Order: sequence, then C-alpha cells, then structure tokens
Amino acid sequence: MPTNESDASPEISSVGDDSGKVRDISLDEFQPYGTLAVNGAYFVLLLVLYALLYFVEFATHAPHIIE
Amino acid sequence: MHVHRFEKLWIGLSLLLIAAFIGIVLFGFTVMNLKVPGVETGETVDPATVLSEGPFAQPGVRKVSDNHYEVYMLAQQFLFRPGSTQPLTLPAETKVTFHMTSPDVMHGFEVPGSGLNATVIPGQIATFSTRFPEAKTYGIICHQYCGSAHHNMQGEIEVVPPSEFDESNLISQ
Amino acid sequence: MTFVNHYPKAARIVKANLIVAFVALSIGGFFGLIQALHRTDVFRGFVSSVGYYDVLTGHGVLLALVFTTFFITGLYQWGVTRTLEREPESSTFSWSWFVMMLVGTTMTATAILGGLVPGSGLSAAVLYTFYPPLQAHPLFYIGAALLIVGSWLAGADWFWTYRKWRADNPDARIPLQTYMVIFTWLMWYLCSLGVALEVVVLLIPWSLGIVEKIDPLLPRTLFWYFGHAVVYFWLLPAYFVWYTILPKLSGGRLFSDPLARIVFIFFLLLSTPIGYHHQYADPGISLVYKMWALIMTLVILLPSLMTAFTVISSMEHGARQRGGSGYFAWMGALPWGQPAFVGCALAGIMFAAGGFSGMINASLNIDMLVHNTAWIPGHFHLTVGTATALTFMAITYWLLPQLTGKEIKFKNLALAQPYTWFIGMTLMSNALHRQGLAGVPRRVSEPQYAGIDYEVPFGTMAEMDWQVAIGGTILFVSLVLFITVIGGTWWKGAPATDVDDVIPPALSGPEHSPKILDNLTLWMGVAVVLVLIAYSLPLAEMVMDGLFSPGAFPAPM
Repeated sequence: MPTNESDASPEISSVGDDSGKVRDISLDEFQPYGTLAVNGAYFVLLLVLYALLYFVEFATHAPHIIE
Repeated sequence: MHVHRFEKLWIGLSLLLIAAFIGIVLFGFTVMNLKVPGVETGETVDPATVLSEGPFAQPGVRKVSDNHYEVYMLAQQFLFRPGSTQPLTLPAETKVTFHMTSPDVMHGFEVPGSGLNATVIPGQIATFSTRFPEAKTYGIICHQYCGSAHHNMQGEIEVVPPSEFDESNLISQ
Repeated sequence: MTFVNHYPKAARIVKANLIVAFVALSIGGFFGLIQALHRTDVFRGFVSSVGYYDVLTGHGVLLALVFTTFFITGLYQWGVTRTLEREPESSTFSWSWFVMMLVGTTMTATAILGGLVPGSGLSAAVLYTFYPPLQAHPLFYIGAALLIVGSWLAGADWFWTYRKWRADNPDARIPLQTYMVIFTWLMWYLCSLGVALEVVVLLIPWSLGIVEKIDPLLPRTLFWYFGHAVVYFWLLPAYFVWYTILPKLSGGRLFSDPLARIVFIFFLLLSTPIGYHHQYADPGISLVYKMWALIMTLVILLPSLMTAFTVISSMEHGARQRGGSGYFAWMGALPWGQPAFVGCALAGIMFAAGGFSGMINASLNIDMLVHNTAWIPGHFHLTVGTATALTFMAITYWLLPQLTGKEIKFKNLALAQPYTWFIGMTLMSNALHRQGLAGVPRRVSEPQYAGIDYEVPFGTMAEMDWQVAIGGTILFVSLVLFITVIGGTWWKGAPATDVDDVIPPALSGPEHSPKILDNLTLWMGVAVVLVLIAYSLPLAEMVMDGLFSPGAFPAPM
C-alpha cells in the first residue's frame, strides 16, 4: 500500500490539525510572493548585521593580529 | 526541471551575498590588516625539551629592532609565562610579535574584547604580531580547556607609553 | 492501520533507537541546567568547579553524539522503510547495529559519569572534543569507536534494503526520503572516517599505554575533518523533516523535490573539506588551507539559503491553501495550534539566527573576535540545540502515533513545549552571543576572573548571566514537558482511531529532473576528490614527521 497519495484530493486532515484546507493550489497557480518577501527581509538583515559586526564590533576593537 | 523564477532570483541573491562576505573578509585581511595566527616557518619543537633548550627556555620580551619587539611566551598548566605571576609589560604603538608554545597540553590565548586569539599546541609555535594602540591594561584568558584549574588560568598585559618602556629587563639574544 | 501495523519489525527498531535518544536527552539536558546555573554563579551546589568539566563532557557527548545519532538512525529507519516499502532484510542484522551502538554508548557514558563518582577509577573529563594530550579512560575511546562503527552498519542495512528495492524497481527515481538518507550517510561515511582513524589508530593505543606520547595537532586536525561535517549530520535530518513532512504539517505540499536533491548533493560534496575553519586560530595549519576553508564554507551557505526558499515556499503553499493571504500575513494562517508544526517552524526561525552567527564564525579574521568565547555555544544552541533538537522533539509528536498506534497524551503540554523552548533559547542564546563579544570564554566553570573587566557592547554582565540562568532553566522545563508527553503517550496513551500519516506528493516531483541527480557513484566520487584536495597534503605532512611526534605526554583527566 503506497503511503504517498498519487492524487492530491483535498482531504480535510483529521488528527491534530486546527482548521484544515479551504482550497487547492496547483504548481502553476502558486506564486510564492510571501517567501520572496520573508527571504528578502532576511537578506537585508544579514547584510546589515554582518557589516555592523565586521566594521564596527570587530574592526574597532583593537588590538588585532596584523601578520 | 521546474525552477520558479523567484527561486532563481533568490539563488542569484544568495550568490551575491556569499561574494559580498568573501569580499569583505578579503578586504579586511589585506587592506585593513586583520589577520590570523600564522606558522613560524613550519618549525616544530619538542615539548619534552622546550623548557630547557631554545628561546622558550628564557620566556620574555626581546628587542628585535627599533620599533619591533618579540615575546616568547609559554602557556602551561595553569599559567602564562610571562603574564601570570607578573604582568607582561609592552610598549604601545610598537610592533610586537608573539611566539607561543606549550610544554604540556593545549591552551588558548585570548585578550577579551580584542582580535588577539590563538590556540597554543604542544609541539607547534603559534606566531602572531600586533600593535597595541594605547597605554592600557589588558587581561589574558586561557580559553582552550586545559584541565581541572583551567578557570584559574589568566594573565595580564600592561601596555605603557613607548617612552616609559623599560628596556633593561629584556632578554638579550 | 499505520506504520506499526504495516512494518512491525522496523517499528520496533525505530522505537528502540528513540528510547535511547530520549534517555540521553534527559540526562544531557539536566547537565545543561547544572552548567547554566553554575557558570553564571547563580547556583554552584550541584558540582565543584572541577566536577563541572565531567558534567560538561557528559552534556556534549550525550546530546551532540548520542541523542542525535540514535534519533537520526530511528528517524531514517522509518523513512527508508516507509518509502521503499520493505521491512529490514534481516532483523538480526538490524538489532546487531543497534546493540553495538548501545554498548559503545554505555561504555563511553560509564567512563564519563564515573568521573562524578569518587573512587570509581573511571574518568573522562576531556569534553566532547577529547583533544589529547588530555587523556580519558580507554573505555571512553573504545565506546566511541563502537558507536561509530555501529552507525556504519546501520547505513549498510539501509543500502541493503535499497539494493533490493532497486532490483525490483530498475527505472524508478529514488524516493526523496530514501535519497536524503543515502546522501546523509555517504557524507557520514566520508567524514566519520577521520574520527574513526583518530580514535582507533591514535587514541586507543595511546590511552592503553602502548605508545606514551602523542602529537596533539594530528588528532585535532582529524577531529575537525570530522567535526564540521558532523554538524551537517545533525542538520540534514532536520532538513529531511522540513522538506518532506513540514509542508504536509503546514497544510500544503513540497514546492520542489529536485531542488531538495540538489541541496543534499551540495552537502555531500562540501561538508567535509571545510573542517579547517575550526582551526583558524591554530598554528601548524597553513594560510592556504584556511583561505580554502573560508571560501568553501561561505559557498556551503548556498544549499542552506536554497533550503530557506524551498521550505518557506512549501509552508506558504500550505498557508494559502488554508486561506492565508498577503506578503507576510499568510504566516498567521499556519497551524500554530499544532505541536509538531510549531516546533518545526520555531526551529526554522531560530536556525535563521544561528545561521547568521555561523557566517561570522566562518569568516576567518572576524572569527578571532569570537573563537572559543561564549558566542560559540550561543551559535550552536540555535543550530544543533534548536534547529535539530527542537525539530526532533516536535516531529516525535507526529511520529509517535505511527510507531505505537497511540494518541498523543497531554496535548496542551505538547503545544506549550516548543513555545517554551523558543523563549528559553531566545534568552540564553542572545546573552551567550553578547557575552562572547565581550570576550567571556566558553568551556569554563567560572568565567569570572579577578582583575579582568569585560567590556560589554550593551547591557550588563549581570543581566546576561541572569538570562543564561533563567533561559537554561526554562529550557529544562521544556525538556520535562517533552518527556512527560512522550512518556505519558507511550505508557498510557489511548489507542489512536485515525492516524494521519499521509504525505501528499511534491508540487514539482522528481519525474522532470535530470537522472544524474540520482547518480550516487558520481557524487561520492566528487566528494572524495574534494576531500583529498583539502586534506591529503596537510595530513601527510603531519604524519611524515612521525605519527606520534612532536610528542607530548598524556594528561589523565
């Protein structure tokens, strides 16, 4: 008995789920704008934090190893 | 193979991010002179004899030239020599090269809140140079677990203005 | 009818592995509480500042080596069995690898715990990295070797099942879960070889007194050959959960199966050759190799960043199928009342933070600011301590009904548990990171030094110590909640009427991806070549000047 369904019939899931699915979204219909937004914010955060850590927190805390 | 255009965009951004990080590090390494401990000519020493033969038999500060001093320092269970029983005194605004090894187990050398950081490994010589920008007292902590009194292993570096640096106590070559 | 009914033999093996994992988690977690209270000077009554190092060794080994490995072998046995639809080929063989791992674990744990028992003659206060010349009782090393070899046999068991399945399915693509198991284990064979050589060739003879002196740089380098890749050994099973199960928990489907395969190929290729980034501050490793590690480590960011996209988009798919909308508001439509989902999602969020501090660690010179400071445990409690550990705990809520046929008991506690973990870890980890920036060292029972005043970027040392102590305590409470739920379910859970064990197929399946992704020999070959490039010369140099030379005397711990 296969444990992966070969068709995506909308089963409102049973055990442990709050409200369940209200609609199906196919591969072609799905545009992950939300993911782009979240990841974009993360990208900016990473660049800013890295630059802050590197040029402020690290570079200004002399002495350093110079060679 | 289906790769959504957003995911392609994200992969492009990720590669940019990686390149930016590499660029920042290399810029810091070369232009800003922010480096890591090196290897002293690939030399190794014998931990069994390092206390009695060679430069580590007389740990301390030596003068290399005007404006360049070097310290042969031992890290051992559970003190820095020099540095623990008495502060290590060094001049500010002057190049200082540290050479460190251990006769017993691995130790660490850390000046908290700075970029001075090295692993001290028996048989190897950890080499790094620095320049203390101002007269100040710095702590040294052993941050590589070295045994039961590891948490008691500490030292002090007293950096003094170059004019006040007493050269009479230096180890002569 | 669920997993335990279809595959009773495999279910027993999975459960045995999980039980050992949770016992290790409980003891190791309790040790963590002791440490959090001790090093912050909130309460030092459990152990002396010397006994602290026995506790610290126990914490590291039981959590990072035992809890992880046994949970992973249990999880992966489940994954292979259900996707290849075959019970293990030989129950005897399967139980034998489990028993070997268990015996090894017991030996190592006995050596460590013996250090807390005066007069036992056993001690192993060498920490989870066991760097010589610090020397543990031989039992410590022999046990570690058995644990590793046992895990190799576990992989052989699954490859055996795979070969049998392949004979019946010559043209099929490898099912994704089995694919991930295989790639994790190929990486594991490659990297654990280093630590196996270290332990068997160097440390066991040395601890038995067959050789007296040891060259500390060689075992340390072999350890870090293993020690970086092992974090991916911990991470890939979390990715296994996030890629193959979390979309379903979110109410959706995996966005892309092929991209998941590509990510795992990256990890097979890059995990091991970057070990030198743990040795940036070391003498004896040339700058060329440190630079190589820098570049390749930053490149290995790519598969994790790709994972961020595929996993989050799969969650978004679920959220929108549940009615969510907007650029950010869709996250509110996710099932935040479902414990398995919540744990995985919060684990992912913390991993994003931990990934950042890892980027700093990887960056050669800035690592000098944080190396061996409290920043490092701040980092890895977010990664192995949350991304891995919390995911493992959370997915147990979803797996346990399939393994036991019982419904989760104490559902309220199960829901509170991941939120509690998140709060505790936020407190503890942020404080450890900030203490690290001030230079507070890690692995120290008393990081308070007379005459040394830490300069704190913002906040105060006292406030950070309190966050570590309180955060650590909250984490322990979360652990108690977890054990209560699991224990209660296992022993007193009501029979489950309808176990939801179905995983819908990926939105974009493997059918349209190049077959070369499944070419195990090719990718393993490339991985081996990359390792040879990175490690053959330095290791050869270290060996050629004498395997045990320059030699230092043992320091029994």
